[in-house]
Amino acid sequence: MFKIRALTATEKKGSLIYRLDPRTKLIVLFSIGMIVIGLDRPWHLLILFIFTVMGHILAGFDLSKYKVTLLIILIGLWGVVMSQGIFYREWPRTVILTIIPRDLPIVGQLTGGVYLYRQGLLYGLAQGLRFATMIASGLLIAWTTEPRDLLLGLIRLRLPYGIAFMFITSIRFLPILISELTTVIEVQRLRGAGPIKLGKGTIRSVIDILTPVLANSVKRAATLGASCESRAFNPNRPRTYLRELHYRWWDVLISGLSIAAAIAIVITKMTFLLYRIDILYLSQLRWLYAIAREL
Amino acid sequence: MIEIKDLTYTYPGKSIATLRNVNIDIPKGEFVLLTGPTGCGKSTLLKTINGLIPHLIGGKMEGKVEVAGLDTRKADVSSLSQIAGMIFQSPDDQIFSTVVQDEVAFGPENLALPGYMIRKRVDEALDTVGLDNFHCRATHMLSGGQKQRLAIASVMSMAPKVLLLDEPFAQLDPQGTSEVLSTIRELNENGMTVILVEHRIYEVAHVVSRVMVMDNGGIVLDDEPERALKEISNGIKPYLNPPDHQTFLLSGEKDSEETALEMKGVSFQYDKGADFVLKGVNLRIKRGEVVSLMGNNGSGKSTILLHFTGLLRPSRGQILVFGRDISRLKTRRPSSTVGFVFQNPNLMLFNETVWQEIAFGPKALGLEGPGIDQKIDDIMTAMDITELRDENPLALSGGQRLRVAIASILSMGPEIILLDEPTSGQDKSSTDGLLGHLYGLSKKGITILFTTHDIEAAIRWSDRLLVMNGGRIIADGLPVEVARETRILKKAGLRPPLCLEPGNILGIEAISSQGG
Repeated sequence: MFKIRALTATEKKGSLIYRLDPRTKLIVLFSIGMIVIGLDRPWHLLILFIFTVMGHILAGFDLSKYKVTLLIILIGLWGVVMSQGIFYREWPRTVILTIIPRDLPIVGQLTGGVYLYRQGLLYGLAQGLRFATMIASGLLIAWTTEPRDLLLGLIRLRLPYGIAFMFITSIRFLPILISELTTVIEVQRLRGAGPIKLGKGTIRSVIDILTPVLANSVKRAATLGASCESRAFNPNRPRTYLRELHYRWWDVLISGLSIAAAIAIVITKMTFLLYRIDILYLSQLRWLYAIAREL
Repeated sequence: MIEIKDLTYTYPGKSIATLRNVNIDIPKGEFVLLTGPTGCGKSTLLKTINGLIPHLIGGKMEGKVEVAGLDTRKADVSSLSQIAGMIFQSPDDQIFSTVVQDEVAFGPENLALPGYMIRKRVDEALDTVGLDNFHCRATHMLSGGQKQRLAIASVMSMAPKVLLLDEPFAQLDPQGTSEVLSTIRELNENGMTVILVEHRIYEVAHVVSRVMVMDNGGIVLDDEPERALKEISNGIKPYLNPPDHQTFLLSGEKDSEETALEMKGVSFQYDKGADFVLKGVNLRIKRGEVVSLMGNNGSGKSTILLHFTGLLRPSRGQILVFGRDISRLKTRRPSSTVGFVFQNPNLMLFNETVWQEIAFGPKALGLEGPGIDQKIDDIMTAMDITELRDENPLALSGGQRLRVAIASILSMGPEIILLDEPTSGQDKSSTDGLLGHLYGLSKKGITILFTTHDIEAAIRWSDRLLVMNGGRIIADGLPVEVARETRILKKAGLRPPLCLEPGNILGIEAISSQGG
């Protein structure tokens, strides 16, 4: 339980990243989301990823958090890069490794050969870096922002209170849910159930594990609902807040820069797209098309 | 303050009424203890008072419920929440904020009060429950008692006139129970009307001004505590029997000398650098012994059980099960020799029917066959769940779920059964039925080790009582003898059994050591 709690807990340290307003962090996260879609070149995505990693270093997290981040990113990267490297179907494509030759009896003939393509690897690398950047930046914000601040930030960004409340409450109960999952697996092991293996019985085993956890969650949700109702909860009625957020000059600066970068990249790519599909071409914008090609 | 007239209520989808023709009149400032067997309608009655019934839950409600002059059927839940605040059994299920002051501010924020007023109410509410220095504390860092006091504060910030508490001590250790009870008592002394639902009537009777007993949806007794307790002790209902003064069961030494469970110098810490949860524990339990383990939360009781299951390995020392050292086994999967019943039986139940649930273990161990079917039927009969054979285990009542969970362990034919808090949230009748059955098994050579906060149950149903404090066993002996050691019990945060207190005052032998 302690380890799970440590992984889901927010840390409190003195660096700037902890002092940023949650709205700024959400705006930066949204901007990064837009930018990773706009960028195609692995090098550019790598720079953005390194920028996010610097945020993690600046935050100075507990070692267990770095381990988890690294594990998720490495698994994700490996999966995306290899699957794209093998299953890349665009042309041109250059074979850099033959995994199963075409002339291998049965398997080779059935598959038509399995190869690793250079272009596929690069495409996969771009996709993988997009994934890694979003995961790293999402965890960075989750681990540096108290859920209560995130709730206020979401509300101040005009997210309906009911939805923001549900989101934050689910975060609050995540460690309990994970702890219960662990308990159920232990219970079932003690009653002779083997570890989950792929193949026959996988779905049954997963259902067996999820059934008690979900049943308990439903029961808890009913109590929680009754508890909220008993305290005048109504997501559709106006409410006030004990705490207020403070948007400082550095929040304005960072939010402004993030939004500007995201808008610049989106506009550049959109303009280039309009030119590519023969809808709009302006010779004055040739310099912009040149930049868009390099992104 | 509360007036209930001819109240009959039926839950949606049910044909039988849960409340039947209830009539109650509770004046302002009264402290009412509402008790009765599981399923008699106590919690349902509370929900009619704060308007959750019928507004949130629905169902068919006849009669009238008025609180502070407001008809609960006509008033909305928001208005009623400022009159009658409700506290639920599990503090963990009702606290959803990560920080103490946010939890308390939730209600006033919903009422759209101005910031300064919210701040004032938060301060006052936390002050009232003795958590005035806890404003910015993380809620998960609080103890069970502190969490329940926080739940009370979060209701108090709505400035209610009535406090409704639905078994608020069920999941608390003795220390937490004492903290919360004294908070409720203070609130009542300051004019708050309180209705407390609780099974352990003898622990709270001294603070209440009135006792109501429910059975089968109706009020069967309503009197001042002294007269009510007299009637109860005359046995108006068997489930309300007072703690025995003379007839504690004591079987004495069992015949077997074979060691079933043993710990040799066991120390344990969950993480390197963290505090040791067990500190050099030495323990030997013989085959067929029934041993109860008591102590406050965090004293190391459950950790001992988990070591004997093989789910935890000691940082130092040895764990032996029937002489076999399991502390360094490579596989952490234990044998069928040891069965473990977790504290929350809900997490043990995942099959579609009770029969499948009980048959799961033997099947997983490859013990199928007609003999096993017969054995399962016998276990179901012994646990009194035969009629539930085709029911979904998760749809059963709390007591029934626990019995199914225990049956699912018994079907694997364990020689040792470990139970984590099997008495938690159970009424006396359920506790006695369950532990009595386990005691019967011990006479067939099955070893039982269970943790509990219920000292009467420990005395009544175990051969030996261990008391833990700070990761060490500080008392180990015959239950009646350990129970007399009030100094040790207090050191472990436990209260002496109630039957001892009048006995000590009067200088008489309250607990007989003559076996029954």
